[in-house]
Amino acid sequence: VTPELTRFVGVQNYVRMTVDPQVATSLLVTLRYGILAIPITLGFGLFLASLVNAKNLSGQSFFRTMFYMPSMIPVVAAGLIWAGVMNTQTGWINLALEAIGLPGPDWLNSTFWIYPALVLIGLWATGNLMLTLMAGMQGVPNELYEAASIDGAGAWVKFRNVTLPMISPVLFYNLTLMIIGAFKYFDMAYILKNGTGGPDGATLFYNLNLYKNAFEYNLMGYGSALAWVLFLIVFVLAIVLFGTSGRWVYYAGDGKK
Amino acid sequence: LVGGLAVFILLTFLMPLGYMFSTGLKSKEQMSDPNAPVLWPFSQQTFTYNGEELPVYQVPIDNRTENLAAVNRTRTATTFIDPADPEAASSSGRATGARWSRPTSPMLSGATSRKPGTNSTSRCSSATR
Repeated sequence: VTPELTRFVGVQNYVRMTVDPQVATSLLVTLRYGILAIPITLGFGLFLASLVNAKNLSGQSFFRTMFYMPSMIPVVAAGLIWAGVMNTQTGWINLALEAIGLPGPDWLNSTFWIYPALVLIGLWATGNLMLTLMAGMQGVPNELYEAASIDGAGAWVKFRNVTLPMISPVLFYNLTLMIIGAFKYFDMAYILKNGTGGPDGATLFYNLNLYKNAFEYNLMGYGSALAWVLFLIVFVLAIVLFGTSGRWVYYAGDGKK
Repeated sequence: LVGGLAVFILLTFLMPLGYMFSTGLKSKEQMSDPNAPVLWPFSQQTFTYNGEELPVYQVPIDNRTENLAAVNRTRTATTFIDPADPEAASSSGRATGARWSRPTSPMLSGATSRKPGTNSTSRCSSATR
């Protein structure tokens, strides 16, 4: 390209995104994964935090350490381990399912089961989520639980009406990070399916599509445009989330409820 | 109750690490054979014949499956003998998979071997693989 032959292309890369079917597909894949993964992961983290924080659980430190441990395993190693565990013939999950009379799905090669598989793998890294939620739970004043007990509240009512509102800032923090994490999801899909986006495009996440355009097809300009749109999507979602936080996040001391 | 639940969830949660521990004990052959036992390390059964260790295969013959040792393997045919009775004539068949045993099993190589040279090739038969 010589200077006299160049011409300003303007927002051509952004216009191209509107007609590129892969962009819509990858956004749909990312949304599908996020809608499934975020509530399940948050719920599981909440459950683990409650479990290892239970007063009548002996060996709390041991359980906390053990549940946190997989978070320290590098994502590539974790991906290869899970690929073995989810093997249709020799994987332990399918063997366990067959032992109880259930057919083992083809976790990594089915366009339906790949999402539960990715969510299941993601649950292995809930250590940080568990720790932050646990710290939030430990910060709830005992007086509130005592008052609830006097009012005749059971365990579930105390959890629903005392614990959850009191840890809502931690939940909000984790929810924000998880939404951002879902949109930048890349590594596990790349490791498990070698970056092909298979089966049948089911793991062509937005970030994977971005990576392929920028570094495989050498379309760095288009890749950059995709990255900017990703930033804008996440930014808008974060603003919406912060906008709603006043309705459901409780900050003691600032007058909000 | 809470302790039991925590232990159950922890064991399920750390199951992939158990899988890797089990994998770390297996041989390359066991890992590459989908029909090999999954949980524990096993080695393929062998039968020592004429001083040579022969792999034992499961061979379906006439609606039954027999464990036969492969004497001679080529691309198109394999000659088998019966490790339990190498003197007896055997039938033709196709090997469907390797026969696996624990490393400490008495069926390991040499445990049931016969004296070298007591078996004649006329008692062996060829089977396509």
